[in-house]
Amino acid sequence: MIPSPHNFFSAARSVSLSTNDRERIRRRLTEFMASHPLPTSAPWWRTLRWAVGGACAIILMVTAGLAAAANGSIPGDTLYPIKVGLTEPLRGAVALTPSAKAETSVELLHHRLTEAETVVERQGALSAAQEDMEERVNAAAAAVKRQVDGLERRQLSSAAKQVKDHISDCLQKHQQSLKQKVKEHPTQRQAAERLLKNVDEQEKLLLERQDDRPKNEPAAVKSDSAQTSSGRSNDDSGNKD
Amino acid sequence: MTGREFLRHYDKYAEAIYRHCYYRVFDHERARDFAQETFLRAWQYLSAGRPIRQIRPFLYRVANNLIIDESRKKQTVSLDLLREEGFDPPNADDRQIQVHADAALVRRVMSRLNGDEAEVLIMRFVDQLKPKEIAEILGVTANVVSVRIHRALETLKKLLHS
Repeated sequence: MIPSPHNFFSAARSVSLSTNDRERIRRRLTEFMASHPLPTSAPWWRTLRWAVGGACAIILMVTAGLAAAANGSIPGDTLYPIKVGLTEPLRGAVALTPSAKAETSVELLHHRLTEAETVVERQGALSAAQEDMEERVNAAAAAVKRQVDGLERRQLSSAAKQVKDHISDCLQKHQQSLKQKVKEHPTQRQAAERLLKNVDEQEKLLLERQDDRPKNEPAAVKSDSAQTSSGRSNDDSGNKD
Repeated sequence: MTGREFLRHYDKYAEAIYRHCYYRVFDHERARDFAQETFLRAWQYLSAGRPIRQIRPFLYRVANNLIIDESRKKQTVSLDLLREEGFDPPNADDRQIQVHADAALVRRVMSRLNGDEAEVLIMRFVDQLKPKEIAEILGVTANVVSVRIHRALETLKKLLHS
């Protein structure tokens, strides 16, 4: 009769150590264990290694958690110093090329403007916090200008143009948002208008160099930039009216 | 792990480790020596201050390594050493393996399977390890183990019918 796999494995399981063999090996093992005792405690370096590893992991997790939590903070919040003192400088340190540094500075300007808008939303009327915020916006804009000037000095005109486009998009977004606040939220009107004025000034400061391009700049680029600039200024003046 | 815990593991897994070795070498004495050496090595590892997270896969890995080493050296790994240390191997009268009437067939069929097939079949259906545990012992994925088991079963059925 042909055995089934089931019967086959049942038969295979019947192979076992005899009681004598099992006892003999156990005795031998007990003797061996007595002559080779377990260490009383883990070596100090192993304990230290785990402690250091654990501490590093905890520090890393806490730092990452704080950095993530600080991301949405505004001046006056407890976590804001972590944002401006740790997270943002770290991000800046990771940007290695001049154009990456310039892009990062535009990102920071965007953050400052977003924070300023949040301050306007929360406090409505003009406040000391807003003045402080405007100073921060001005400082961020000055940093952007330094980076863009640096790009132009290095003859990296296409990178400079890309950064300026980015600046233009960023400022336009904030201008639109502030104009909406002026129209729709009477309580925020004064503060929003003041911030909008500041943004317009930053726009002039940062994008004025588009008109100062060298003569040998390609005509297409020049006319595009001019269109963007003039288009926006018309739009702005129309809205202000 | 304390000494008492280790001996409890011995009581629990000695049979399985012995059987695992037996179906690899088809020799009672060598299988018994491998089983003994497996537990001695495991204790030596612990006494060196190194931790063993899961004892069962660890024991199988040690047993596998011993068998592979022996097949490379073509000589007994530990028996001579144990004799020198004063261990008296049992004489032929002590051999009381309970071999079932079908055991001869099992041995014949197992010896015709290739090493990998016999190994996974024994671990899965005789030692009743899960594919995940087998995968951990063999250092492959659980999927690979499942495929090997499936193929080995097919081969086994053919051999049983031939």
